[in-house]
Amino acid sequence: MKQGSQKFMKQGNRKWKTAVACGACAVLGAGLIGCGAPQQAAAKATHAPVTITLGGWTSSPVEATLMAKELTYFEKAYPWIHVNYRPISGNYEAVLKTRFVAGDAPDVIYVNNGGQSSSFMKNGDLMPLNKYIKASHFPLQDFFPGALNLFRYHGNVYGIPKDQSPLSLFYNPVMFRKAGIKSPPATWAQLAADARRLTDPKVHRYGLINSAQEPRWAEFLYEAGGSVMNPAMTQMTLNTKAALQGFSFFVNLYRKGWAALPGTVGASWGGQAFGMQRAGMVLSGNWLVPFLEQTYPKTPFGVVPMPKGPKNAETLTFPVAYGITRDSTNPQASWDLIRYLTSRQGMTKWMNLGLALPSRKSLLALPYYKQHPVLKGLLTDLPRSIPWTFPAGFSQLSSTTMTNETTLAIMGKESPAQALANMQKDGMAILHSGS
Amino acid sequence: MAGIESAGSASLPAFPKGNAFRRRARRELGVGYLFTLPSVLLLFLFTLGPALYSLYLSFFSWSLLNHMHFVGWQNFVQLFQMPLFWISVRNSVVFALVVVPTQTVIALLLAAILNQNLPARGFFRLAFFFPAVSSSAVISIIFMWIYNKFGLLNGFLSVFGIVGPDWLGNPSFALSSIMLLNIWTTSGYFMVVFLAGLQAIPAELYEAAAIDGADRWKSFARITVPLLSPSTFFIVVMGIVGTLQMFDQSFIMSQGTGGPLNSTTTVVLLIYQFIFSYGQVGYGAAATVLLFLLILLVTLATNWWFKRKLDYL
Repeated sequence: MKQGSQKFMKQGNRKWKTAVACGACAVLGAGLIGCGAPQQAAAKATHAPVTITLGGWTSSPVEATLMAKELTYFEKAYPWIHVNYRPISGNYEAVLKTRFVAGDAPDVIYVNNGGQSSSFMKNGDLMPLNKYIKASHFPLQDFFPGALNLFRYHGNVYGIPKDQSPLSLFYNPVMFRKAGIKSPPATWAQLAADARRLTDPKVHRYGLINSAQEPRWAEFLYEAGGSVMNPAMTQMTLNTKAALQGFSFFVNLYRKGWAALPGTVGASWGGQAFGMQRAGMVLSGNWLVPFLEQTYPKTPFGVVPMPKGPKNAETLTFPVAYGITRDSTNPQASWDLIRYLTSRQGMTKWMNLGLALPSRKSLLALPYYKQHPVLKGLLTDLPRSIPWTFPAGFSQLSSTTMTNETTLAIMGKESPAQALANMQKDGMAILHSGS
Repeated sequence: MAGIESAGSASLPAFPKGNAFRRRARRELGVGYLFTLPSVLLLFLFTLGPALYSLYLSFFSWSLLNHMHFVGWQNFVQLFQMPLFWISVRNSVVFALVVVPTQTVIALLLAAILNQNLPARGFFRLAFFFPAVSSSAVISIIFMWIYNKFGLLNGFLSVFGIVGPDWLGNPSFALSSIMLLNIWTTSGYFMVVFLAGLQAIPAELYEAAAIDGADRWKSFARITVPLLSPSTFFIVVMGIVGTLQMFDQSFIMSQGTGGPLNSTTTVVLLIYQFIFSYGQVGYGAAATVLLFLLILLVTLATNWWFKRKLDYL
């Protein structure tokens, strides 16, 4: 399984749902696209009918149905384009790779954050969108620059961000009250103290439950003033004092017994443990909100921004984009679909479903968010969050090695410094090999 | 990967010299090839072709998406220096060493018991065979719940005051848990093979042994076990091939990671990860070739060992 998506399969497969549903909503708003309208009228007369395919991930039939419905709206606005919606279930990026090899990848795909998308861009599996962006005067200023940059390579744009979600702190207000804690933590010290008070191993309850995967601890490194890689992603930077401070804080929560891995309470990911009321807190993204509402409606929850570290208040975010594959025989129609789904109006409709957060800055002010104050923590974290990705060739390191090293540190079989040193060494080896 | 295929090689009957005969022989040869063509094509397309292609790929560096280039023995050299590869070999070998003897003995005992005139014999035969016909993926998922920290197994253990671990989340127990599942699913299938073998043992032998004063245990050890050697040979070879190629249960139960801490990374799971997750097709192909050699050698050794034993029959 590839890294980015694999993480989410385990940690928050709801995110996938979110992302799928996301596209769907955007379609609703398509009829409103202003700039495209005149060209459409002209095109209607001249365009021969074309069929394009849209591939993405989905983990629930509900989202697939929703997306299919939304595409009918697109087809009404662009009657000469027929969209075959072909979601890929399970191992999305692995399946996608085999489609690339076979030369029959879908025209439009979801491009995930993480190692495979870097490979796709590097190997030319995605089409540069520059000329389409230019020709249709599609403004990019409104997109969060970080999210957009994730899908840029050597000056070309390979994907238009459809949605994203940052990691924030979900907490159980009832558990907090019972433990005599007045407000959710705002600093690391409060996080540790609250986790300690919430923990009661006798009833299998822990302060914080998250997996050992790197998107659950990297934010602590940044908050301590450190980083995983330099911004240009040419160096590993896990060998700094700040990185060690952040990583040690995360590991020590587990070493002291105030945090636990999901399996400890029979859960497969942190969000599930939180839903089962085995965890007082969990670091998660927006995808946990619909999951809790559907699967654990009795679990009370609140969301606050990631507690502030010794240096910064930062967190990670996971943008997903639409891209056009190199095999597409109808790039223009594919672009029409992407433009439709990611337009301001399209994205607005999509966001109103509450499944993901916008990749457009202007949409932070949507009335929907005033009506849903529980999302405030996530919205606060969004502008200051770091879009998470790795360069090409990092799949194994990010999906397996980093998790293993962190697990060893949590089990006490390795010191945090040793674990970081091993990751640093492996990462540098990949960078030197130039793969 | 396909199992062992034995293709019988039929040589042409020696025809007397003469043009008429030779023409006929040639025609028959042509017809013969024509009839086998579909099977031969399928064999080349889906079995031999991919096998040869993976041999070819083992000398190249390729990520599936970039241009492949020749690297000679480099993939093998890298693989031999890679701790993860040796971990996967160790996992697969340990898995085979535990599972093959255990499932063979259990299958034999079950078959021996169910070969007698017991009440509800049919029901038990069905019950033991059932796992073999169910989907491995479904069974793996059911067992994930049984092995859950708060699952059925730990619930059972808690009756005796034992606090069970998180079976699949604990590196010390994860592989053993999969072994247990694998033994459970395959024993029933091999039981049926043994049952078929048991039917072929003439009843007179047991009668004669009884007259000579052999008790049940003696006739089991001296008649049943030796005369079942052909079945045992089949079961051991299939068991070795199957266990060394174990992938699905590890893949599902570790959610594709081979974790925790690589404790369930088998060679085939690693091959899958190399090729489809890590973009290192060359390593995956090289590991495939090495796994092929390992299975070939072990099977030849088993063959040789059983041949000696089978000879006295």
